[in-house]
Amino acid sequence: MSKTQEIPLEDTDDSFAASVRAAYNRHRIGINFCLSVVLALLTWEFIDFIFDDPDFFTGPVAVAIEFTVLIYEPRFWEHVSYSSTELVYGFALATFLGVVIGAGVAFSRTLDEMFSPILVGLYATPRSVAAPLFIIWLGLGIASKVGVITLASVFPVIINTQAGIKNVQGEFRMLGRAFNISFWAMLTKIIVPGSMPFLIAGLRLGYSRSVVTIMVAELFGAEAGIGYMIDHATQTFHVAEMMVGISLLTIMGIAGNEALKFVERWATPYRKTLV
Amino acid sequence: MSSSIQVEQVHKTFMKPTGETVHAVGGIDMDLRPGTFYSFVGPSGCGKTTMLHMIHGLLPPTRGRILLDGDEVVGPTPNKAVVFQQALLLPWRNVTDNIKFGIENDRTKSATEKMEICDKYTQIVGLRGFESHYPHELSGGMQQRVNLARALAVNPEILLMDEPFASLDAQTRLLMQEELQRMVDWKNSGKIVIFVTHDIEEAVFLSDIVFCFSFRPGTIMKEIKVPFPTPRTLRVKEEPEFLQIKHDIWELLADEARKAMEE
Amino acid sequence: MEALSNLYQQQRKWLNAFFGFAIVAAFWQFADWQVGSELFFVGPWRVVTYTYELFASGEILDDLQISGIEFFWGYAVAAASGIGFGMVFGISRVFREFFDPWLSAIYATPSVALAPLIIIWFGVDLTAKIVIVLITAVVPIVLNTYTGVLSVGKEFQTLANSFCIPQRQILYKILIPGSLPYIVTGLRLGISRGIVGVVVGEYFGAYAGLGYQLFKGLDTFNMPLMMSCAAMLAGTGVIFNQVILMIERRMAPWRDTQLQE
Repeated sequence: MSKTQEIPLEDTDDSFAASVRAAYNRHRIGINFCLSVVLALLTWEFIDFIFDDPDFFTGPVAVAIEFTVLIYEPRFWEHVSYSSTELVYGFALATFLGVVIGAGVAFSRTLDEMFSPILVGLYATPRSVAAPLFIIWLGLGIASKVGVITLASVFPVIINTQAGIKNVQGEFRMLGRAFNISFWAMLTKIIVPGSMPFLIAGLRLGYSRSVVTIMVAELFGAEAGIGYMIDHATQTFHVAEMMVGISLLTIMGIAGNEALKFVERWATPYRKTLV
Repeated sequence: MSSSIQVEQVHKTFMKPTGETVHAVGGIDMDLRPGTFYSFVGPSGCGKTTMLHMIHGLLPPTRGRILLDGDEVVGPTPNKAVVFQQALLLPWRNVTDNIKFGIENDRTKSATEKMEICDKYTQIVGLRGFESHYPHELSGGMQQRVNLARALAVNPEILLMDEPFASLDAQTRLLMQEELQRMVDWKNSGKIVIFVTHDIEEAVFLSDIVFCFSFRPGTIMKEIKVPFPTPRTLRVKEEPEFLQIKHDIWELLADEARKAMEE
Repeated sequence: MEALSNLYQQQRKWLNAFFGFAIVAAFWQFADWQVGSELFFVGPWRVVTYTYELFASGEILDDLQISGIEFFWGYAVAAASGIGFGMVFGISRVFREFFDPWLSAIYATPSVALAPLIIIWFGVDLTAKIVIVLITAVVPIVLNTYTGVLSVGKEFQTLANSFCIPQRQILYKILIPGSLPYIVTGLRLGISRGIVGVVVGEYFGAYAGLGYQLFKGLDTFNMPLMMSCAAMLAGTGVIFNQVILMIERRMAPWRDTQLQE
């Protein structure tokens, strides 16, 4: 209808209720956010109160207490650093391989025709089920986890890099030709910045795959790690410790996602960020 | 069946999300008679589209009132239909089903009658043979024809057109202007047509009466009667009298357009 | 010679795809010869023959059935509830603003991490595994449906209003068909997640299932069994994905399908 969202000015009521309503409307997103968080924590605690069985369910307070206990245990920090290392190496490797392979299939038509069907096929498969194979090949240590994480998260990066480069090439190849610029200039001035939004979208998807795969990879056998910790806590019905582990993985997921959103805003300030 | 519209001292004020208020329409009076083609012409942001939406009933006026046959307009009704600037065809419906959109809920017509209506307007807008095409398979001009047929299929007494040709290329636009007269046929059917446009030539060519809008807050600076008999051919555009009217309107609007540009 | 090159030019897409498969299979088989130990690595030929043996002896059929049931029910409930909730989030502004922080959190949460909790809550029987499949598969379905509803422009709402279409018809005339492409994407992404859910669910106590066989393979150093199970799980993903694409082409002939996440 109209380009900006316009609110008809009907209400010229100066009463207190109206000014409260106006203040709510101005800050409604922030207010709803806070209400939502508080209400969810209360609900969570309330369910705990109903069950009243720490071997079955624990509320946010119990989880927080468990967390403050755990941080004094050196073993806990070993788990955290183990999983973080896996995540960093796995995600970095996936980024590197993803960009290289994605660029390869984007620039060469033959490579595209040869390997895209396989890549697209693998993209649709549950790749983290290869975790036990990696344990046999690379052992119980960190290498097998890095391998699985890479395998699981490389595909969104490949597919998005390819889509990004093809998209820019389609749109701006003529522009580059018209201004008669070199391949290097084309690459640095058009292709890299132009495909950046796609690449970052791919990285965000890849990152979320990476975090999920930490859990899956460590289940199948590990020396340490947050997934290992959760698995171990499950065997001993230690629900609070499990919840601490799950919360940690969630925090890793959210933190990385927010960091990538920040990178997205910084690298492509001309675009609107979604999700 | 013919209706008339009275617009009485209508104002419209918006509040932007920033809290700033915009006085879009500032006191408009109009008396619209059946069987007449009216144009609203003016610079961007002069409130002409807002006025159209208010007549349609999509927006309520802040002050003043709009009467359709003596009753205040409170919302869209089946006797009004709109042709949008963007075709807004449903991508998942073919041409026939898009044209049918407005009459699907009409309980007074049987399914065969509805099909006949669709056929009739497919014929009128010249899309015979394209019935089962999807919007993405049509050119911009053809999409606008479907857009028009969808509105005509409702057989409205009031046809509202919001810059329907703005996104077409220049030649298609000329052809559509000429054909529109045949396709809508407001003289014989007693319809009121309201046509919003930026294009002075288009407004003069099509209209019986042109309303010239000032920049915000939009008011009617002048109401100009176009004397040429209808239907008109594109040749009319070369006649000295036509050029004179066009020139006069431009003189009137130039300052307003400058204000709009500097905004 | 010229005829040959013409043939290549005409059919290059298919031929290259075939070459691509051949190259990958050849490397894989070659690696098998080099390694030379079935304890450590098996080639594509051995995977195929082993899978055939599993089917011929019938010992895998029970596992297929169990995993199939877990996946089917989990995925079906995920699809129904995911589309439903996604619609509500997309339509209701209050709901959306209220739950938005949780949608972002769900997007970033590794939902399989909840699997052990589900086992504690529901026990080790079938229900628990169905719930695990449900929670892993539902996330992309909800998020994509929600994005899809938002992607249907406000202008279509105006269109419906101006033709006096009642509010409840807008749901099935505008919102559902308009967001269908996104829903399909969500359903496709849900498949591979759901399969991971099956495997993880079966890890926490099961007596049969493809995931169970995968762990048995790991415990008994039975490499052919592991690879065969992994291949079957991957194949299921590909097949289901193709099925959904086929249904989409049937139902939505107005659009070209692209892989997107």
